[in-house]
Amino acid sequence: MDQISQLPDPILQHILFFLPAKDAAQTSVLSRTWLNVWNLLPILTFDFDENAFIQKHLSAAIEEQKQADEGDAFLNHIDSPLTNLRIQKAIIQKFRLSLNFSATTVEDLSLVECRGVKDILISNLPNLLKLTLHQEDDIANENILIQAVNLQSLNYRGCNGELKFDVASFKFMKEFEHNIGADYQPNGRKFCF
Amino acid sequence: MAEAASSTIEKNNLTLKSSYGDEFVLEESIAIQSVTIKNMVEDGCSSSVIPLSKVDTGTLIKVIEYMKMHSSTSSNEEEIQNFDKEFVRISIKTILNILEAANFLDIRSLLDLCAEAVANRIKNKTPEVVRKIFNITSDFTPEEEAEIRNETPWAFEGDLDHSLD
Repeated sequence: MDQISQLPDPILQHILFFLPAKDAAQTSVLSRTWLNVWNLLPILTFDFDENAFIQKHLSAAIEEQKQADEGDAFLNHIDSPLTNLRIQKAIIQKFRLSLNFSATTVEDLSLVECRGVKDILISNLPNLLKLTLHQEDDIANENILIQAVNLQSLNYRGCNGELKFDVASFKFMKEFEHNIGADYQPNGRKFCF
Repeated sequence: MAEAASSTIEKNNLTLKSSYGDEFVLEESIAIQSVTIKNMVEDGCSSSVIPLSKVDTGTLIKVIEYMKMHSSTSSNEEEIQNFDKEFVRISIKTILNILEAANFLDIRSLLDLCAEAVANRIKNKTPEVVRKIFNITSDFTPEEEAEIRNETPWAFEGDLDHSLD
């Protein structure tokens, strides 16, 4: 057998963690060893960096239209991997959302029933006004870091991890709802943008 | 114990022996980046040569080079980053050898570095190309492969790189 396929399953999984979901899923057809590793994969990372997205998808030709189209393109793009992860019933361990200052459309962000998400990093959302974080799982969120300078409302329930704010986040905060406890969400995990 | 009779400098040194029998003397403070070696030292097994039967000489040289750089107090973060970047610009076979050694020696940061380097050789490639790069033989029938592709259709859409680089 080839050298890489002889590595222990945890090491092969470790390699997959460094890949975007699409590339990781593709390894399932390489051979039975890799299919097994993919099927055993307990967690995935959702990672979206708008700067990288823009560099990749927006050419100079459509630069002028950028402001108008970007919101739609962004939403379509971001929805696709999330839908895929939902289909895969993947447990997302790390949720990283990084947007740049052109992301003017995102004002309301909800993360509901983020099963097993250990790290949540939400940064560069200058116009985020309302953020909802609901956690319905035994696994504690370990790190939640929110950098949203204009945040006005935070509804935070059941996330028993350490919540860190960028200090500026409190400047405009008008509403802060914090409940520890579990209200069952029948619809499963849901990400709303 | 052997250390008792040794000079101060020797006392802090360990000898690592590769699977080929080549011996390398390394400061203990550097070598204990490996949790495996650290445990051996703490258990008092380090008075003689530490045999690393799973690590060949070439791989051990690379691992020592990595550990020396990462324990150096004179290099800053940027230098270490550049070093890491250059460190994995090697053949995939060598990366896999180091990955195995890092796993055996339990050097987390080196394991991560190599795992990411392997991932980077998979990223954006078609499964066919990935098989070529890593010399993986498919043991699926075409029908089985088609079935797996149908299970995750989103993974097989879009443009991919067909080059071997």
